[in-house]
Amino acid sequence: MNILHLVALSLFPAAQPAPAAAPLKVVTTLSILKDLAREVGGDLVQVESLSDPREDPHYVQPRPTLMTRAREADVFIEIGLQLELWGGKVVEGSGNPKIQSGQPGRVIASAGIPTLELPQQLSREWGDVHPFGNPHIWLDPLNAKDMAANIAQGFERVDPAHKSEYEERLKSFQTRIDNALFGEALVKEVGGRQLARRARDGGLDNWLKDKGLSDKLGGWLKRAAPLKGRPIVTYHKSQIYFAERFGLKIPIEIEEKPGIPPSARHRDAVVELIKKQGVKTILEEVFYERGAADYLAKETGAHVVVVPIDIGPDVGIATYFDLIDNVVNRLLESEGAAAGDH
Amino acid sequence: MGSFLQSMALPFLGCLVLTGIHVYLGIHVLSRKVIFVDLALAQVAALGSVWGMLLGWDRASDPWIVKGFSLSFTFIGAAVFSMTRMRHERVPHEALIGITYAVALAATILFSSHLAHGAEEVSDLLAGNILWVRADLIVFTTVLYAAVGTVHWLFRRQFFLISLHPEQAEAQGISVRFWDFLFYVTFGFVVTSSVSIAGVLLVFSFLVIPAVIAILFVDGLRPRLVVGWAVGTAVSAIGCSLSYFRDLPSGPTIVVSFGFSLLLAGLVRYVVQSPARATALARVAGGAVVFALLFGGSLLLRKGEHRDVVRLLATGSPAERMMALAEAETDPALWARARPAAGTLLRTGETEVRVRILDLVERLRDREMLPEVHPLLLDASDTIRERALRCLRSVGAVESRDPILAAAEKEEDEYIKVEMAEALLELGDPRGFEPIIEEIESGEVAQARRDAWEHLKAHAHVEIAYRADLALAENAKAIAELRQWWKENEKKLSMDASGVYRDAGTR
Repeated sequence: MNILHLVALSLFPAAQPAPAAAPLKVVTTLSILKDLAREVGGDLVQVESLSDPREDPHYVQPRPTLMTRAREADVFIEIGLQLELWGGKVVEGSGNPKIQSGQPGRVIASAGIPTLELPQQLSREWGDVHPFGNPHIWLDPLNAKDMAANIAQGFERVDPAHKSEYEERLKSFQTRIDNALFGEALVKEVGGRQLARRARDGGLDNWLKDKGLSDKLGGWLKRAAPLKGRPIVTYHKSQIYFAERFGLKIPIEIEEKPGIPPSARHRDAVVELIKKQGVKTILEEVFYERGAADYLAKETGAHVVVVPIDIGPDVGIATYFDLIDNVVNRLLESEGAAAGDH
Repeated sequence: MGSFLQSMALPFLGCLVLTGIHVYLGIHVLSRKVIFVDLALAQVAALGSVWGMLLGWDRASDPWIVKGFSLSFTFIGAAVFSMTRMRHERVPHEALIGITYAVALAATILFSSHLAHGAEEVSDLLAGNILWVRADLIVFTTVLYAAVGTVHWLFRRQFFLISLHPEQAEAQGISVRFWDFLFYVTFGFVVTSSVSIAGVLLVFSFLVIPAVIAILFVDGLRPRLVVGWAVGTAVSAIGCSLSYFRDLPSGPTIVVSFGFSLLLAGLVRYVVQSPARATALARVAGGAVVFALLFGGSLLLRKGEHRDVVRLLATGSPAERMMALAEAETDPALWARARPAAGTLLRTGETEVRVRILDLVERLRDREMLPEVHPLLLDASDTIRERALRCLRSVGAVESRDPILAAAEKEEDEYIKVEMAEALLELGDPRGFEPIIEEIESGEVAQARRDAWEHLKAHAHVEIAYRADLALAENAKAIAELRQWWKENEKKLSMDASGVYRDAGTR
């Protein structure tokens, strides 16, 4: 830089390259939210997650660093639906006014996303249901799109100056999800939103057939087509959104009620169902005890497939796309291998 | 019965293996007054595995190394317990055991806060579940415990002397410290493997309760062992059956059965040993009546189930709202009362609740709700707009025409716009052609243009060669013709009985 430059700069300060605005400090409960926040925020945000993907998201031990991070946050993102009960405690404990409930900096990623397991019919068992529906919404790629949209809205509330950037990045993410889920050709022809609506109301296959578009389907849905209608067993009800999207059936969970050891009859019912329906795969999250799954595997010959449901280097999952890829691949492997057995 | 045996045989066998060694060890533990030593050693073992995992070993891929860590920690714990047993104890041994438990638990929590599986490791101690026990593990454990039992049998003189009369042992020149250490090592070994099978609660009960009952009634090692084993076996059988036939979690059922058996044993002993048995019996009966009254009385405090549907809709959780809607659906009078609350929820409720109400309006064909449905055509959510439109298509009437047209003009999703236009045409309003033609003219999505063209053909006889799969430019001629047709017919069209629009004048 020569003297003239310096003079020019001191005379016209506006000519200086504007110092990059400090990135928004974002804290998320789960790493999946961190990934979505990075997708939407890019360089404009600096994201940290409070939990480890190898932890049960329902139970995280509070540590002082969690409070410190929450104290400095501009935006706090959680799934909601009572998934992370510890999240609220961290936020309240941090005393950070920007991220308290109802403030612009608090983002509930599940807002407006229809949940499963809310009672549709009148049953005798009032009270024996999750009051907000099943909170494990993120293994459905369509929900990931909506979660990203909620996150983008939060960023725009707190940082309206960069609204267009957030919108653009959101759109790009949503298109990539659509392409990954339905295949690029179909998305181009039909549009992601229409496909999402048809997939959500369960009529995608029929609709595609109706319009003569069936052979244009690609992406995860095409690859996972062999899984359609296949029964699998899981430990906890954390895979039901994935199952719903990809047409798998989960006739029974190993866990009878979350956190309560199953009774013998339930255990036997699981064994019997596995045998009767020819279940080939027992899908379990990384953080649950293996005892039950191993017992069932030995008893029935089904495979235990352990998958992460969150993102992080420790579980070998870098992005949301890898997360879904991994579950699809592992299931195809297990079901394919199982088919080869017989 | 066959399925009962099939299903509970292994857990019951597991219980028997536990009974065998734990009743014996329980007699030791009780005479040493170190009741909670099993909890403390189990916790120290857990601390060991957490430490091993902190050093990078993984429980799934290197189970034996992690087990090795946990076992070494157990040995250290055993050393600590044998060294802190004082002859003239200034501090009760139980205090040290309690402290060890608390500190080991706290350290486990501390270590695991830097461990991914943190919370799980802490709760793991409770997690052992007798229900998942398999035959190979039972065989392995039996062999293991038989070995431990043999050691104890061979050196029974030393073991019992140091447990019951440490001073005498010392006088005979037996090293109390050494035999104490050996006792705690074998004990720790047994307890940690039992806990991994059955969980801490069940192991504690097997250790203490049968031994306590035996001590209540008989003296001498052999009689106590026999009574303890009998009680352990009987209660395991009762617990397993209860668990199976009442469909309850096995571990907790067996523990509670043990609790009841102790209560019963205590009462029997009280009556049998009392000088005036009739009075004692009367007292027990009286006590039972008082207990029954108190417990029965508390049932009167059961919270009443007032399910006011309207209140639940207004203030309930989403699940309660869904249930309330399901209930309202079955009863027209209830629905009439719930309508205002449902109307509010259509604007402010959760997506699922709103969809459910739209569903309900559609199913009940409730026209009174239409004014609440119309604004939803402008909702921010695709799903809600689509569902509201679907509802109007099946319930809607003439008064829905204007709101639908207004919504179609603002709609940015091409498919929903086309469907809105189609709804207008179904309701006999030719203004529905306008959004359809607009879509054919300038829609960006090929499939939506195709839908629009199909709707148009279904509702009007136009002889125009339009091809939705072609680019807009290649359809320019067809589109111009279409515009022309619309310009000429806009004011003249009306719907006939088959849903097709014709020129009213030429019909």
